[in-house]
This record gives sequence, C-alpha cells and structure tokens, in this order.
Amino acid sequence: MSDIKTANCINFDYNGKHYCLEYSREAVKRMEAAGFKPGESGTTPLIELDMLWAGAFYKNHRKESSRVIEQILDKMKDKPKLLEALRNMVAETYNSLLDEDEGDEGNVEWTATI
Amino acid sequence: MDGDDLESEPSDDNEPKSLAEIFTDAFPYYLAMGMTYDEFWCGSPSLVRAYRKAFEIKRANRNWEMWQQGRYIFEAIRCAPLLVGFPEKGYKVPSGAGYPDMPYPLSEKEAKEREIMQENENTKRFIAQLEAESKRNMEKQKQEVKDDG
Repeated sequence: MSDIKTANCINFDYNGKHYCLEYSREAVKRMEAAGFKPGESGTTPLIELDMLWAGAFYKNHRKESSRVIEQILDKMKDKPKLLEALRNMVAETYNSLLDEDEGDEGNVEWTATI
Repeated sequence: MDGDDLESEPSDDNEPKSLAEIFTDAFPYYLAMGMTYDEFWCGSPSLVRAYRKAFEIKRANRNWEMWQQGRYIFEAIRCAPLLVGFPEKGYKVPSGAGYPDMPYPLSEKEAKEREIMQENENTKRFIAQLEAESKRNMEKQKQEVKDDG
C-alpha cells in the first residue's frame, strides 16, 4: 500500500488498484440531492463520513461498487482525521468560488493509511 | 407557455442557500470567463481561481488597450490643423505635437531602446548636416577662387 500525498486529493492503492479521491462540484451537488447537508448539526459523524466517503469516489471512480467502497472505509485508519480531510475537500468546492486565496491555503494534505 | 413555469420554487429567504444553488448561481460568471461546463462541474474545484486571475489579467490588458487607443485618437485629433481654428498660411504642427511615428513603447526596456535609436538617428542627421554644410562651404570657396581667378 503506497501513500501519496497531494493537495485536495486522497491517493492510495487498494487491492492493486490506484485510487484518487476528490470532489467535483457535480459530485457535491449529487451528494446534496442524496441528503447530505454540510455543517448540519443533526448528522452524526458516522453517517456524514459514509456520505462523504462515497461521494469522494464519484469524480474518478464512479463505477466502483458500494461494497468495495465500504470495505476500503472499514480499513481506513484515523477516521476523525479522514472525516476532517473530506470536510475540507468539500469546503474547497465552494470556498474556491468565494475567496481570494491564490496559494495553498485550505488545501487538504492527507496521507491515507489502510 | 409562461417562462415562470420553468423556474424553481422560490426558497425561503431565511434558509441558507444549498451548495448546488451557490454553484448554479456562480456558473454563468465562470462561463463568461471562458470556463467550460466540464471544467466547472466535473473538474478540479480550485481551477476557478486560475480563471479569476486570468480574467483579471485580461481585463487589465483590455483596459490598457482602450486607454492606449484613446491616446492615439487624442494624438490624431491634437495634430489636426482643423482644431487650431484659423491657422495662418504655412502653419505647421509644432515639433513633437505630431502623430507619433511608432506605437507607444510597452515596456521601459522598449522605451530605452527607442531612446537610443532616436539618439543614433539624431547623431546621423547631425553628421549628415555637417557634411552637407562643409560640402557647401567647399563649393562656395571653389566658386570664390574661380571668380577671383
């Protein structure tokens, strides 16, 4: 399992396949349509993590089965940090529209470990 | 069919906008900046920053071009004898007030190069004048010698 770190992207290998998880605005729109509400206090972190995790596959690995997606999530370590990284990646989809930031601020640095 | 039928129901003002609404609202602005549908919706979210920066540069360039064009028009009008009122016979546009021979320099480097080129031309013209004058003097002297002889 190799760990590659890039901004706003979670990279890892699982079962010999390389994964690059990131969000597009379309993915976030679909997640919202499926019931995801960012920053909603009523959502439990576990449900939020499930939704964010599944949504992160939409951009580059939309054909991946939900069974595999769940399996990978089960094997991920440090879930609080993963949740934080995913939240920041979603935030980037709208922060990039609003802020004047030209640098690396707000970019996610995440080392995925399984 | 009424166009209003196509619009979505107005949302409650107190309710914060959904992300989809924020994206949909922003989309036309980025289309105007030259972003494609795929780049905005399916591409990297950070790409919009580069488009905004590029748009700022384009706008600044356009502003500069428009200002420059205005200057050229101003120069053209300024050196038109028509605007002098009733110019005397043989009126000439004062030196330096004519329409520029070349476009304005776009950088300091170009301005310096032009300055050097202008100096070289002035020197050449001065030397040519001197040569012509000395030639004229020599011919005059020759003529005087001939007349005296």
